Amino acid sequence: MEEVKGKEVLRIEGLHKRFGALVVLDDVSFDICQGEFICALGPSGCGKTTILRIIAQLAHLDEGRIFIHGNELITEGYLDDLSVVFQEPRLLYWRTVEENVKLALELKRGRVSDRDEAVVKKALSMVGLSDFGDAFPHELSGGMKQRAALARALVTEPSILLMDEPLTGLDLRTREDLQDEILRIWKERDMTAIFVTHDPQEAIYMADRIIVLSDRPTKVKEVLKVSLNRPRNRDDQRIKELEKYIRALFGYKKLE
Amino acid sequence: MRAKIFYSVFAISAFLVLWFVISGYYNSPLFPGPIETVYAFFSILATQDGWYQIGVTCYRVFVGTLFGSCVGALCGILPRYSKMAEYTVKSVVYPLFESIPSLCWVLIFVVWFGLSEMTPILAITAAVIPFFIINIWEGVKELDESLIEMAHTCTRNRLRILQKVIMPMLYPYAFSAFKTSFEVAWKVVILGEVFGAACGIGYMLWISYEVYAIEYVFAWTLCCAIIIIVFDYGGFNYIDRRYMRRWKR
Repeated sequence: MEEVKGKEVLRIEGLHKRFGALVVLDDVSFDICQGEFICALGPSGCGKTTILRIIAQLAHLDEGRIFIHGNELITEGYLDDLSVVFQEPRLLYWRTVEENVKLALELKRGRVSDRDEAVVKKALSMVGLSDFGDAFPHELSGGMKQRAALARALVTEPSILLMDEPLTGLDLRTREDLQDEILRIWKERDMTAIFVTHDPQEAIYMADRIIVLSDRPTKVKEVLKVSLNRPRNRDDQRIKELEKYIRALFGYKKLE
Repeated sequence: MRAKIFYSVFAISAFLVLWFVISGYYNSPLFPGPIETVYAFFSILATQDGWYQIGVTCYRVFVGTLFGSCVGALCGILPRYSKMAEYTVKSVVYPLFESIPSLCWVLIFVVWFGLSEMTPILAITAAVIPFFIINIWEGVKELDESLIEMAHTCTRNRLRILQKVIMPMLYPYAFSAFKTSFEVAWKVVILGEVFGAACGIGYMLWISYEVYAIEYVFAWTLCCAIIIIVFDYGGFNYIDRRYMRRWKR
């Protein structure tokens, strides 16, 4: 059993999901503790996103149970506790960046108070978009759009942040910058994070623990604890060794 | 820009000269020239009653379009939420409103409501409903589901999602429906007022025709044309430039 960082926040028990005859998830179970950064790693199309979608209640589970803070995930109240960052930024194109960030509060609470204006500004400054509040999404680069999406997820001050391959499609430099930004914010906010990726190096660089998922039907292949001190160095030999180990788990099959 | 203005002025002047020459050639009270028409036009604007008639017609166009937009938009959006609504709108509501000519609606409403306010207003409502149904429906089919899904991660309140995400996505379609409906509404209101009202521009057109004051028929027609142009260029084009730009990605 891995060493846990704090109190259990999220527990997933025996998750099964089928799409017709296709079994996508087959008895997936794991738990996440307060303040942990978890990466769900697996080949593309294996069902990583489905796990995230089930947690965010965007997809139904066929069997299994999900507990947040010990309560079974059946009520709406849980939504206050978690935010999702998708692979695409999903910004409303008719709203400015600031209005997009504000949207999360408007949807959650119905209306926005004066205090919330400051919260929105803080979220924008946290992701380095203070000067772009009045810009429209089409005026931003890919990385900036994803930052705006991150600000929208952070503005409600969630305790759990779900990220579904948010850095896919970005150039290497932006990707690495955003990895560091996400880690900084995660630490500052003391959040629990679940980060889905198919890149072993990204998972090792970011995670406290890596849930290694097998190809379809998805099962938990192994849970790896990454005992490297933070901040981590991408050129660290131990990262490369761990990457080699993970790739070997998949038989050196291309993960991407 | 200067060339554009020049060509517009030239085209209008050419039209006026042609009108002046033809009316002069026939020299008949049945074909008044631009001078008589403009004189009649200003004599309408010089009276309080003239403004009242214009106001009444504008009011009917506004209320009729508003009613039509509410019913049409609802019929356009409901199919998203219910299969039953989809089939009802697709096979009954839309074909009904789309296929019945405006004149038939006017006659039906005259029979039901007589010479009343309701006749032209409901005739407009019936005429604009299909424009809203088809536009909103088109918009609903084009909705970006990924944005709606994103909203679902923030709330389960469907009304809030409708208000904050779905409806704004439909604004360009509603705007386009309003623009088309407004022009249709002006054509229908005149018909409705000719047959089923006791005041308004259509009614005055009819009265002018009855007493063979053809310069007033022309003058009231000019009123309609000017109002439509002012609303189209000054109103809709302004809104398009000023507010709808946000929706153009």
